[in-house]
Parts: sequence; C-alpha cells; structure tokens
Amino acid sequence: MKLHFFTFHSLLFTLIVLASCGRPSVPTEYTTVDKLPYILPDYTEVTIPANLCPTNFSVKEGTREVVARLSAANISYTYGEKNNVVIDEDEWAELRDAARGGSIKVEIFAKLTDGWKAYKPFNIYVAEEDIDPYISYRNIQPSYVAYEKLAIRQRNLTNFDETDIYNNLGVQTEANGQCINCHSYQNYKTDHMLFHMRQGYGGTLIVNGGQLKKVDLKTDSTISAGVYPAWHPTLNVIAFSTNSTGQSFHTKDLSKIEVQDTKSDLILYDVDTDEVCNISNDTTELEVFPTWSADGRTLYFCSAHFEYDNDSVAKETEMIQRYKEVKYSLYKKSFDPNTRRFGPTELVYDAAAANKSVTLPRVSPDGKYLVMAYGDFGCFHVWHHEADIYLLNLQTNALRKLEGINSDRSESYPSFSSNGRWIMTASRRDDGNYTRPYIAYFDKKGRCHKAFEVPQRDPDFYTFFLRSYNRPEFMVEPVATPLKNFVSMAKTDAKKATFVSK
Amino acid sequence: MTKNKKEKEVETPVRAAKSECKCSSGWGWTLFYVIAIVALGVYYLVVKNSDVLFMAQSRQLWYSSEIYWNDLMKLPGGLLAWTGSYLTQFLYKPALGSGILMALWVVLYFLIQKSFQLKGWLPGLAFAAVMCLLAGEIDLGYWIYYIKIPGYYFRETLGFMATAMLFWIGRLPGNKWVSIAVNVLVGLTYPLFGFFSLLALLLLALRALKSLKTNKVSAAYVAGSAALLLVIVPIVFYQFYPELPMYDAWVVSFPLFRSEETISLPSMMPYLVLVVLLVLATLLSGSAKIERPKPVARHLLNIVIVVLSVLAVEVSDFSDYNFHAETRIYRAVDESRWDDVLLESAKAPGDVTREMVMLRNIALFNKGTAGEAMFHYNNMGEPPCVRDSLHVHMVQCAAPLIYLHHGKTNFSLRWCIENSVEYDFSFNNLKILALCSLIHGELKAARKYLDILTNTLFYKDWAEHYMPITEDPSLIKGDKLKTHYPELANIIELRNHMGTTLDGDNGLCEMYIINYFSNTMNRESKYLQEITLDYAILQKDIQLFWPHFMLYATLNTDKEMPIHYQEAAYLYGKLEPQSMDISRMPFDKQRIVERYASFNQASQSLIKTGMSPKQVGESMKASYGDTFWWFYFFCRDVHSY
Repeated sequence: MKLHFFTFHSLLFTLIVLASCGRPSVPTEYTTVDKLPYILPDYTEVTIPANLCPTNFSVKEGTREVVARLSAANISYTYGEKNNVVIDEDEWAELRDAARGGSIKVEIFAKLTDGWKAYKPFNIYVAEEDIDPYISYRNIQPSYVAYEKLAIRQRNLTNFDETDIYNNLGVQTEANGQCINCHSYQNYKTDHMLFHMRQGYGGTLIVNGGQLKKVDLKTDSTISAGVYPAWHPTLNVIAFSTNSTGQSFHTKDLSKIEVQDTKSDLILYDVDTDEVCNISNDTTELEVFPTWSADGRTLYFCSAHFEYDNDSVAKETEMIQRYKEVKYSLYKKSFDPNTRRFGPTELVYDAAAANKSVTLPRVSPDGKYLVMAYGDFGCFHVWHHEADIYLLNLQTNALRKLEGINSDRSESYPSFSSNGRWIMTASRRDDGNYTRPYIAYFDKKGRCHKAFEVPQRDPDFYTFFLRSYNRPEFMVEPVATPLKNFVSMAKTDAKKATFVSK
Repeated sequence: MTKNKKEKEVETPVRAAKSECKCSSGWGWTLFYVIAIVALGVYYLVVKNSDVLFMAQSRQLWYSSEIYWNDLMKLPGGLLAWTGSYLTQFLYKPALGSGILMALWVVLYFLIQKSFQLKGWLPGLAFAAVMCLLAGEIDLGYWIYYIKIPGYYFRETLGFMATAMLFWIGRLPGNKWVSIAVNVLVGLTYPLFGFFSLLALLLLALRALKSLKTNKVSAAYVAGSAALLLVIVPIVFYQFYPELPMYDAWVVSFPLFRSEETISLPSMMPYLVLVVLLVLATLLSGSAKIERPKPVARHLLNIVIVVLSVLAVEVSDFSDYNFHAETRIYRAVDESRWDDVLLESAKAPGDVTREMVMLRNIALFNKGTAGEAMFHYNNMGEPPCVRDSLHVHMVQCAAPLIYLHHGKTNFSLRWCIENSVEYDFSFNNLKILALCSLIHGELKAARKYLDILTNTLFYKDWAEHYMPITEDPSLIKGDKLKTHYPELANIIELRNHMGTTLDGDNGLCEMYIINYFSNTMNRESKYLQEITLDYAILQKDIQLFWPHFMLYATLNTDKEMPIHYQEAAYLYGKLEPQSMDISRMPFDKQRIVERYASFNQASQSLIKTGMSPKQVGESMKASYGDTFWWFYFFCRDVHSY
C-alpha cells in the first residue's frame, strides 16, 4: 500500500518524462578545480551496499546548472537538472552492479558566473555485501513534550518506497491522542514485533507470529509499563526496562533538554503467558537499555549507580540538580534459555570510571562486537552534542571510537545490520536538531568507513523535511501486518500482564 | 423505447426550470448582488479584519516543495488544502488576499445560481451562501491559533466551489447509467475534495429523489447509487490514508474546530448553515412542481434573505478589541516597530490581556523607557475573549516571540517546535526558529529554516536578509551586530548575559519570565539588569526589589533615577522602613514626595467613605493610574494564562 494516494513525485515524474528530451552533456570547455564539490547529502568517498537505491544529491556550489558523469566499468551516464543530480533507478542499478566490490566514479561540472568548472572527481565505493532491504523509524518533530503527528514508517532501501507501519493521526487526536514509540523486532524479522502507545489507548501492541495483541505491561510490582525493549533472538520473551522518566529544559545550553530517569529497572515479559518478572531491580541502580547477544545467552544493559542523599527535596528535583553525576556503565547477565534464569550482574565496561556514560548497546550478529552511544553523562544522548558511537571488542574488551560514522554532533541509537556489515546511527550532523539515519560500512577487519545518509528521491528532501528519524532499525522484510489492523487493535482494551516472582 | 422515454423524463423538470430562469433574470439585481458581495467583503475583511488576516497567513505555511505537497496529500481534500494554503499566502497583503477571496466568492455566487438553477428567482440563496463563507472568515477569534486546517481561509470557498461544480456536472443530460457514472466520477474526486465530494453526492441523491414519483425506477437507481457511494467511498478510501481516522472519513476537509478541550459549534455554524442552504437549493432547484412566487414576493423574499445574511455576518464578526489589538501589537513587535507597539497599547480603551502587557513591556525595554512609562499603560489582565470553551494559552500564541525578545531563545525555540507538533509549522515559527538558530550559532539549522522561507512568496526577502549570517556569523557579533542587524542586538545581549540551568515553564510563559528575571542578578549588562529590576517591581516583593534597585543605582550613576523606580523605592521605604533607610535618597519632590502624599491622602479619605478597595482603585485611576503605587495597591486579579 502506498503511503498516500496522490504523490507529488508521480505527477512530477510524468511531467518530467513528458518534458525531458535528453540527458545533459559534459561541457566541452571548463577549468578544473582542485577540490571536491560541496554536495548534499555528502556521498563523496562513501561506501554503499550493493543493493542500495540511487544516491541522489544536490550540488551546493552556488550554481544553477550542473552535469554529473557517473562511470563504472565501461558504463557511463550523465545527469543534471539545475543543481540536482537525480539518477535513473535502472541506470543506477547497471552502474552499481558493475561497480560491486569496486567504485563508481563521479565527476561534477558546475556552471558558475565565470564559466564551467570541473571539480575533483570522487568515488562512491560499492561493497560486495548487500544491506537489509528495510529500515524503520519514527518520524516526529524534534519536540520535547508535545506529540500528535507521529508515524512509525518503513523504508525500502533498495528503492525509495516508504509506507506507514502505524500513524497515530489515523487513530485519535487531541485529548485522547497517543504517543507511539519504541518499535522493536525479533532478530530483524517482523512477524514478531512491538511498539508502545502512551496516553490515549495506552498499551503495547505486539505481533506474535503474525497474531496481533495489545497488552498493558504495568503491574503493581513494577515501576512502569515496559519501555525500552529487546526481543530475545529465538524465544518468545522480551526484556524491557521500566522507567520513571522526567524532562527539564536548559535555559541556554544548546543541548536544550535533559531526559532523566529517577528510577529504572529491568523486567522480562513472556509473550505467550503475559507474565512479567524482574531481571534487575536494585534501588541504587538505574538499569536501562537491555539488548541480547545474538545467541540469546547474554543480556547486556546499561546501569548507573545513583543514591539520593537529600531528603529535603523531591527525587526529581535532586536528579535535576545532580544530572551530570549520572554515568551509565555497561553490564551483562548470562541467560539460560532453557530455565529462563539470569546469572549475576557482571561489569563489561566501566564508563563511570572514565567519567563517561554509555547507552543504547547493540551486539553484532557474530557476537564479536558491541556498539553503543558514548557521552559525558546521562541516558539521552540524542540531545548531547558530544555523544558518539563507540565500538567495544567483546573478545579483547578494547574500546574505540568509530571514526567513520561519527561527527561533531550527536550520534546515538547505533545498530548492526543482520549480516553485521552495516552500522546505522541516528545522527544530528546535518543541522544539530533533526536526527537523520546514517549508515556506515563495517568491514571484515572491523573498520568503519565513511557513513552515508539514507538516500532520498528528492536531493533536497532533508532540507525541507521537518521531522526527525527516531530509532532507526534494520529489518530483513517489511511489516506484513496491515496498518489498519494495528489501528483496530489499538482501540481495544489492553490485556493486563501479571507479575510473577522468580 | 419505453425505457428511454422514461429516462429522458428525469431531465424534463430541469429543462422546464431552465427555461423559466431565462425569462426572469435581471442584470440590475445581478449587479446589486455582486456589489454587495464586494462591498461587504471590503468592509469586513479589509477594513475590519486586515490585522487578523495578516496574522492568519503568518500562522500557516506554504512552500514550494514536493515534501509539502505530499504532506497535504496524506488526507482526502489535500488538493483543497494545498491550493488554499497557497492562496492564503496572499493575505500577507490583506487587501490583495481579500480581493482574491472576493473574486472567488463572485464566481461561487454565479456557480451556485447556475448549478442549482436559482438565477432569476432566488439569487438571495446564493448570496447567503457567500455570506456564510464571509462569516466563517471573520468569526474565528482566538481559534486562529488553534485551527488545524491548512489553507482554511480559502479552502472552504474552494471546497464549496468544487461541490457546486460537481453538482453541475451531475446535471449532464443522459440516461440513468450516465447519471450513475457521473455519481461514480463525483465519488472518485473524494481524494481531491474530501467532504465536498460527498456533499455533492448527497445533493445529487436528493435531486434524484425529487423525481422519484414521476420516474420511479431511474430516480431510484440514481439516488441509490449516490447514497451507496456516499457510504462506500469514505470506507474504501479510508484504507489508503494512514492518517485518516475512521470517524473523520465522512467529514475530512470540512472545517471542524477541535482543540484539546472543546469542539466549537459557533465556529462551524456558518458552514453548517451553508450545507443546509445547498440542500435547500437542491430541493428548490429545477423542479416544475414547486410553484414560483410572484415577482413582488420573490423580490421581498430575496431582500429578507439578504438582510438576514448581512445581520448574521455582523453578528459573526469577532470584534473583540483586545484580540485585534494583540494581532497588531504582535506584528509590530515582530517588526521591531516599538513606537507603534506603544501607540497601539495606549489606545486600548479598557483592560488588556496579559499578552498585550508582555508585548508592550518588550517595547518599553527596547526603548529603555520602562522605568518612566511602564505604569502609564493599562496593566490589568483581562482574560482572552472567547465565544466557546476554548482555553487560550500564551505558550500557544505569542510565547515564542515573547521568549525571543527576553533572550530566552531555548524556550522560544522549544515552543515553536512544540506548537508545530500540534498545529504544524508556520511562517511565524519558522522565522523565530531561524532567528533562534542564528543566535545560537546553529547555522546549519538556521540555513534549513531560511531555505524553506526562501521558497515562499512573501517571506523570501526576510529570509534573504538573514541568510548572510549563515555564511558569516561574525555579522551578529561585536560592532557589526548593531550595524547590520540592530534588531537582534538586545536579544543577543540578554542571551549572552544569562547563565544556563535546567528549568521549565510548566506552560506558563508570563509567570516563568517574571520569576526568572526578578530572581536574576546581573551587573555586566545594564540592559538585562534594568529588566530584572522591572520584573522585581512587578512582583510587588519588597525584599526582592531592593537588591535590584541598589544595583541599578550603582550601575547608572550618570542617569536620573526613572520615576517608577523612585515610586517603588519611596513606597517600600514607607511600608518597611526597617528594610531600607530612604531618608537620604534624593527623591523628586514634586513627582514623588508630594504626589505620594496626595495619593495617600486621597486613598485614606476614600476608604473612610466605606468604599471597597476595588471602588477606591477605580476612583483613583484617573489621577494616579500612571503610578506604581496604584499598581501596587489596586492592580489585582490579573489573569495570566
């Protein structure tokens, strides 16, 4: 199902097809410029998957006319419409396939006031490996408290198709509107998936082997309903954090907002029995962001040791006063899939000792690496400019910053593709405010190559699109559950989960 | 043959009516209606509501981009929303936008007459329909801050034009199968026109039902198909629109006035009446069965309709002084026309809203005259006037601009974004977002917002004025700032001299600002320091006042102490002599010492007459309403929101 019935591009495409009468020619006379052209999105010297859609871009050199020549093997095509380079999908497939394991050479010619310039050519490297064909994310204005126009969407990376998985405008707005969040999948597949709804029609929508249900994970024995989820790779159990979360606002700091947990625990939810039990509920620890190893035998999570020591103020107030003291480190617990019992907590990386705070860990499918967001303090690194993606080698315990994927702005929410060759992150490098999905090639030697922004049909898309991309997740298949089924289920009462002591 | 004959009969009454129309038209009356539409349009739109129309366009968005188009196409009626938004831009020049609107209304007037065959005997009905649209433009009041209807000011006009045109198409001659095919065609326009296509189907069903007695089978087929489509079309298309709730499928693109707290029937009334009028027009149109009134009665009927329509428009006009003044003051602050802000504030005939007070104080701060003139203006807090149970919150109206001019750019930016979540982005909040981002040094973000504004009809120049900063941020630093962008100088000075902390306004802009500034001490910026003193005075807190006052005196030894600061110091010295010894302070003898004595004497004598404090305040307002003393004792029950 298409996202909307009438799309501008279908109309535009028809007009372009009717109006266009040939491709641009490379100018015969030009002067060379010894610098790379300034293009957006920046696809210079990036490494892309062998099944990616065209990397359309715009040349931002103050020109109104460009010609781009893309060449691979003995294939060559030219493009250019005003300052945009929009590549035909079929021709792109030819170029990309010819360049698999090699590169596509891109030459840019721009007409400036003093004539045509030829910029230093650049390469778009094409990896041998494909990428998972789908990603999903939540589109939302980079808001603080308010919510209304929210949609969880899925995007086919091999073309430009985007559809809504769920859109809360289609359910209820105003007073009974909902916040939807935390979409999550079991092992990259979508027949086991979930997302939450808060406020109106609150609950967690779970697809369990294609069957849809809605549950309320809040019990009298837990802090909250399930928040940050991690579906076990093989079992029908989901680890959640439960959080009591607050927000406060910087009056001047450009981080603008702090999101803090005043308390948090970890729980395990059995999808088949709707039972909930504790994984970790130490009152002096703020446990959060569970994630499973690929074999399902280890649960990693983050936790900050925090003891309230001022009885004269509310916990929320004390947390705001001491927010920079909250440092999350990385821990793990062994898990026996047969008995469903967890082992003792073990420290994996002591970020607090390094005066840092790590969040949102994800383990590579081969179990060798773990990526996480690494910042100065706190748990909400999307608002922390200094936050970057770090890689922990789980075999050597060596930690390093992933150079290719980071920027001088916030990077958070890293994840591995199902083949482990691609790392995606939610980055604010474009403008500091709107998170965008960036993907970097992670080669067999553990090196991260220069990240690229998920391509769009319109090269100026990210300039004009006023919503963020939250929680970008890889998927090997699209969500099969029709949106309207989610809508119908959303309107039903949630089944209460029951707490069991284990 | 028999069947064909019967099918042709369906059209017979239509033709009969058509022939009657021809013989009873009058150019004089036509001219009268056209002039009336234009005259009333000019009066109510251009003369009485220019300020509101300007505000209305600034609170919506249109920009040339595939993204914007696709965004509006996510709901049925997207074409109307997109076109309406495009045309709403022209309200930037209210006379121009109003002119376009009036031209459309004249077209609609003729279209309704033609489609419903009213010409010559009931043109008043078409005129009344246009008046409904006029009423719908001017009755919104504070709903202009809360409507979630892109292109509202033109969309409904275009929508009803679409209905009239579709109904006209439905009159195409032919057998029942042609009529059914036309019904299907009308149903298929639902993605473009939403509710207005369904309305056309409803009217077509009614029209067919009218001939049920004479052409039973054909009429039943045609009416039945229209009725069926009326039910089926929204259900079918609902599947294609993720953002369309089922309960909205039949009314999508009809102007529903919904907010968190209320659904406003008064605001929807003009459109409900218009729908009823079109139903009435359908029932009356083209039927030979209905006996036409005699010419005199006909004219009388039309005149009654015209008079009632004009009365309805007058009643609908939201003429609350404060509402209109707020829109004018907001624009003046936005354009840094401080004298105009103060002139407008001085004109307020009664108590003003707190938003007006906040915006006026910004002008006084910028002119450096708060200490001399703050209490020369009305400082009361009249709640915003609403016709229904709409709750008006300052954070959803002027708060982003108010925060911006207090240097609280983080909060300004926050409320622009928060409001955009529910009410979408607008020219207004994109401008403020761009300015905040420039001031923050977030140049890429600023560039983004400016790029969008560059792709608009009327904000291109504004965007291009600020675009150079994205290339050279030093333009808003040091000496260059006052040369190139003097309008940002005070904002940047405030921001530069404020510390950072974690905080929150809990949705109460005014209370937050008063508390924040009155509790801030700063000696580096004289501008900021004086504002902290002004807010300390507004707090009516003696202990809070003295440190600010003393610091002001220390920093401004070269200046004469402004009169309101003297008034506050003198009063507080009298009220709490233990807090501060004022005996050696050089108060102005005539304006402070003697005037306070007379103020005190007057109030004491009035109290002795048994007057309530409120009555005393009213009695003394003319003589002492321009003093801090009057504000301190008698400005009560201020409604902050």
